[in-house]
Amino acid sequence: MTEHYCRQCVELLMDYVEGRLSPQDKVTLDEHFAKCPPCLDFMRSYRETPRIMREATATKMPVEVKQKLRLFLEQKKRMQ
Amino acid sequence: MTTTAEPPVNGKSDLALIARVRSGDEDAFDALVERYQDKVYGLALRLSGNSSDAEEILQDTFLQVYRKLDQFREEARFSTWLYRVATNTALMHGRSKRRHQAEPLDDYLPKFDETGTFASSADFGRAARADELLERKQLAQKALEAVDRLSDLYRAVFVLRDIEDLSTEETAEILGLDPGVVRTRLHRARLMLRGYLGNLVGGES
Repeated sequence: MTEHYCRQCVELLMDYVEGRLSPQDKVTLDEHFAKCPPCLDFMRSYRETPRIMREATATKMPVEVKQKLRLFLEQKKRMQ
Repeated sequence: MTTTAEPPVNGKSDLALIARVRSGDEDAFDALVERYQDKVYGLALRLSGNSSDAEEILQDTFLQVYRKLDQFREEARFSTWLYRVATNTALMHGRSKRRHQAEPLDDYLPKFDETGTFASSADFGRAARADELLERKQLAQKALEAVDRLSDLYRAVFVLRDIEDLSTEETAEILGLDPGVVRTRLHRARLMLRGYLGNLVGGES
């Protein structure tokens, strides 16, 4: 493994966080993380991004939107 | 005691409800709407970026489902078919209503120097704590804006796979893509959004 592995590390992150890397590649990446704090931080933030985005965009459908949907569909069905 | 009455629609499977809709049972269609309206609204909101468009997409989606239910083939899951209708409706809606091209998020992709090392010594760790560092309402607004700034290529993949938590295969089926293409686009979307969060919390420029 070269010293300058960050670009390759980023390319492999998806497989790393999803546990799809070969055992050998996983060891290589873990060794790189141990001596490259920026890559370790990058991996952690990459891994957390879907959760943060999912929680931040979570929404409850407003009751009035449900009511308008029901009225809309009733009206359209009558026109069929 | 036995009864010949039909069981209530709420406990029935999707396929059982669809069979009843096809035989003219309107209550069964209402039960399908009740079952999936929150999911479709959430998907529409994340794909469109605003509540008024999401409401129109929601209505158009269920109207199309009502009109096109005959086209649903039972070898597919109903939820997959419904998500495809909703996603296509949202993407078409976006193309016709988007007044300006959103500023893309490519600038937030990681940058490397000629040796393959990160070009800046940014604090990449702050992005992982964006939900702790930002006020919830502010993050919610910025997150929707960020998803909206992804191009169609990336937005639908990210929303279906990472937000709605569908599998890669199901996402590929809904979008008519190869699973490998889904993974490539998902990775790039995650990188852009990760960088966006990092910039938002002041760790990266």
